[in-house]
Amino acid sequence: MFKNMESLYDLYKNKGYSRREFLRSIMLLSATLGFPPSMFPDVVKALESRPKPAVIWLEFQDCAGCTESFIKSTSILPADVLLDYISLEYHETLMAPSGFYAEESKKEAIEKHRGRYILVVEGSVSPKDRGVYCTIGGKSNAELLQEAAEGAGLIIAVGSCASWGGIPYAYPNPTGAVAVSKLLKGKEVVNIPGCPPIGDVIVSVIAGYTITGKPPELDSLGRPKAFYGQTIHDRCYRRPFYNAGRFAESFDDEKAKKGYCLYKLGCKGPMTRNACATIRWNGGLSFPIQSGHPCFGCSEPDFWDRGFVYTPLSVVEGGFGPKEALLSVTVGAALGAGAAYLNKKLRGGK
Amino acid sequence: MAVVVSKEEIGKEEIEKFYQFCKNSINTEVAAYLEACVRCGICAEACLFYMGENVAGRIDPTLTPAYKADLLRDIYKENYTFWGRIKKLLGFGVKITPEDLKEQVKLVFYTCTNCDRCTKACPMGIDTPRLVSIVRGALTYAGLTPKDLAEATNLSVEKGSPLGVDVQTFLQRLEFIADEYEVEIPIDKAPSDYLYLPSSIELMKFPSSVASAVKVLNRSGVKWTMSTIAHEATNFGLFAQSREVTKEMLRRVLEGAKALGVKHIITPECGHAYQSMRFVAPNIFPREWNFEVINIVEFIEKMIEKGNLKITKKVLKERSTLHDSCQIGRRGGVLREPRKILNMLAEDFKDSVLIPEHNICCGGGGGVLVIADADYYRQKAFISKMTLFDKVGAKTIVCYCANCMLALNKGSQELKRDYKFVSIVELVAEALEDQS
Amino acid sequence: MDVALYDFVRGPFLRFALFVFFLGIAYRFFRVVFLGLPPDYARPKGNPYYMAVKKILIKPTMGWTFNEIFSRRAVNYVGGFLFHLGFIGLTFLVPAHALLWQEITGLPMPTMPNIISDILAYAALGSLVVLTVHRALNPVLKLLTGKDEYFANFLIAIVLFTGLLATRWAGSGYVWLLSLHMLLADLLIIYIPFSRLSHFIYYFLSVGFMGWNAGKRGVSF
Ligand code: SF4
Ligand code: SF4
Ligand code: SF4
Repeated sequence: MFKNMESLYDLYKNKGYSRREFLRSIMLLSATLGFPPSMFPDVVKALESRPKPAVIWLEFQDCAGCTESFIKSTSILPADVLLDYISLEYHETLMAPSGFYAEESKKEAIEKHRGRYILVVEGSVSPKDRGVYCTIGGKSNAELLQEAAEGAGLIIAVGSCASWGGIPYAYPNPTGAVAVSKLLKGKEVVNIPGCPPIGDVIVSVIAGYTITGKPPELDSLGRPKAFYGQTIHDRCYRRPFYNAGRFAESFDDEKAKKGYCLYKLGCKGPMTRNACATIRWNGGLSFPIQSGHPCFGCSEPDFWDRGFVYTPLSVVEGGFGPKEALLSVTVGAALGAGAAYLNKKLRGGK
Repeated sequence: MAVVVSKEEIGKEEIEKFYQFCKNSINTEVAAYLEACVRCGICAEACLFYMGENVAGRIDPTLTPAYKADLLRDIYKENYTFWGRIKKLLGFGVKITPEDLKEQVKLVFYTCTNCDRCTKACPMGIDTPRLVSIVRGALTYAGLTPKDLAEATNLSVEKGSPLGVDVQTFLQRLEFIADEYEVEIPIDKAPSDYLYLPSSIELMKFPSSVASAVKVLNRSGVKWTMSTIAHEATNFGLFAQSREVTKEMLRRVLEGAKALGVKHIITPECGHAYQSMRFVAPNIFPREWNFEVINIVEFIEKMIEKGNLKITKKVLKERSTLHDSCQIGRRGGVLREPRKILNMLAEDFKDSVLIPEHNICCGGGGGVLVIADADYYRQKAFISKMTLFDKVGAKTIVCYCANCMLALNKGSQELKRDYKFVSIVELVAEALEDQS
Repeated sequence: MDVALYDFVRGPFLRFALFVFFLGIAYRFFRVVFLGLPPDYARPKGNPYYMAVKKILIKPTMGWTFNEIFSRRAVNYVGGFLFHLGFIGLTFLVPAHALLWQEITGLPMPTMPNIISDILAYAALGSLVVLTVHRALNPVLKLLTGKDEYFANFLIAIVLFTGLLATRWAGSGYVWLLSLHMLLADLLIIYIPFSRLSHFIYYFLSVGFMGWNAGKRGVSF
């Protein structure tokens, strides 16, 4: 089971890939991570020599969607290389052992790779009521998190649940779910939000750590700048239509067929930071806007509670329609009439 | 008898009265004007007083129409608006000093003729004359009417005319005119259709105007008369904005007209006479005032239309232009008629403005003419008026208001210019002269 | 962070601002309307009602006919016209704004392309700056102007500016700028009923009265 000393290049060779194919993957990886070309030789060297990363993947209040996304990431590393390279020492959904043995192997891995391993957390944590809402092997999830985080070299919160709390955190949040970073105060957590996040991004961040030995550069919300530095809107291929004021009015009208901007249909692209518009999904095949559905901002905090999936961004959240306008005008008019009446009373004279 | 006073000393009581009057004069229209001003200052460029100073090379921003209403605006704010009230409660309300009131006298009595030009230029359509009138009324109510104006006003109440023309003088003058110009003047002749009222300015200073009006009236073939009860058309109550005086003067007209049973009243070449009888009187005597009030210019035009009068001769050969009386023209709607008539009378008539409503006031309206302290401003205003005359290069200026003519003549003499001012009715009479 | 601010300024705060705005404007309008008018028995010479409506509709285009005033105050006329054109155009027709109006009024709203809104924004911003400078220098305007005007001009300018920045040059600061723009716009919306900016509602009254008087007197202007 422990073939941890293998490097990426070894894996490629073993699987029968050519060096050319190896280099192409690295080129792609460097580009995705935003490394300058001058770094390329170093990157190659690192991936030729450094052992593959050890990953402990914890799942708490999640749906395994992030895992799905991760294992389907095929644009950078070929499918058969991916799971071999990123050696998942512990992953409840993917690993073979179960029960007692599984917990044992985790302990072992933590000890073996202490200070080096990457802890990936999927799903939100629920410390409420001493953690009874999510326990594994009799331990509460918060406890498990602390245990695993302690010796981790890099902590990654994948998905909106782990990054912000996500769906479990949404109102009324019965389990008291919180984001990973909330429980790991003082520790750096790399957030890779998205529901789910793009698998290639997860892979790139993990591989990037192997190359540089450092966490990626983060923004104020702990997201890697390389992937969350721009909004969908900034890079959206429908942007020219937005600029020209051409909007689809419904999902199947002429304008939608012509590929007009989806702002009116509720696109949250302008305030959503993610890499969908550049990296895209399913091996760069497409992304929601390309398939005709507005972005609904799944990678932004609290996207679920915003709940205005199909209303345009600029429209008042909470609603301010003709009724409210009429109401306030009526109240204003009544007040105005009252003031006028008083003024007239006080005016005296003729 | 209602009299207007002119106090020298301004004390607490005056200020209080001023304040109360302003406060009590607010209604929807006034409040809308006071609220709507956007402080753009465009009205300044429309006001002949400001323009005159400007042409003369000085800029006096206090002549801006919007500024003339600013004290009223402040009083409005602290009595009608939420924040204003709060400010007043906290002790930041308007504090009016005697100097402030003196300034108001200058602003509204010396430097505004209620000409309405600023209203037309204002992007918000603010009727500054309306606001100025309120301030005038407040000052009059507080007893701070300028001395000359107060005297003339009182004289008109006592004797019947601001120039002191009582019934006796009136008859004497008419007799003189009848002799001098060989016209027949019907007095107190019932039944008549039309009542013609001369203004005492014409009577005393431009008798030929009266004679011409008489000639025109006679020739038009309508049944008309003058009245010994309603013998004065002017109404100084309007200048001082004293409701009592206005009412008293109009009451005389009403009585005279009722006594003669006329249906129509013809006002002379006098701006505010038309204004008061056409637009003010119906509101003072809503039930009794059942007359059709028309100006003599309107009358002439009507008669020409009907064919009663025919003008075939061009009596004015030289380049001429028209001076509009604000109260008859811009504020009275008689703008098309004088132009039509003048085109028949003059060979070289050139309008000095693109749109008749843009014409500039004479500078003497609204009682400014009788106030000696306002002379400086009136002369400056004349300068702006002159620019229009000079623009079309006319030396002969046709007027249809005796007060305008007086003011223009005075200004022209004071500034040593050689403009000639003629009355349109006189021209009409002249054109009709040797027709049989 | 920025998105949280964004949600606040486009959510509860905007809602609050709109309530204040509609209530305040209605209050100010009706406080004046219900003061009442004395009856006018003088027979009108023209048609006051027609003129009132006509003036309200076309008055802003008539200032030009006063050509000597126009020549002296071209800054006011051209600047004022451009500013109002730009400001009103942007307020109603920029897609994001139009959708907001659509929600408020329940009526479909046309939208305009970025290129036009850019031109309008530059025009409005430029003329606002020029007008403000003019205001500070012209003796008449100096006398008439209070703090209110400068503050209002400043607020509008910075709303325009942040809006322009957000759509044009924001780069990765987009959400921040957008939030800032909306925050300031909310403040502006709240400020309108408390200031002279509410002149737009009195326009209907005062110009209506002016037209009414013109109709009463039978003049065309
Ligand atoms: S579809 Fe969405 S992200 Fe794309 S341009 Fe339109 S609003 Fe922006
Ligand atoms: S009414 Fe005439 S004189 Fe009075 S402020 Fe206006 S423009 Fe000047
Ligand atoms: S033109 Fe009208 S809005 Fe402008 S300052 Fe004068 S009165 Fe006020």
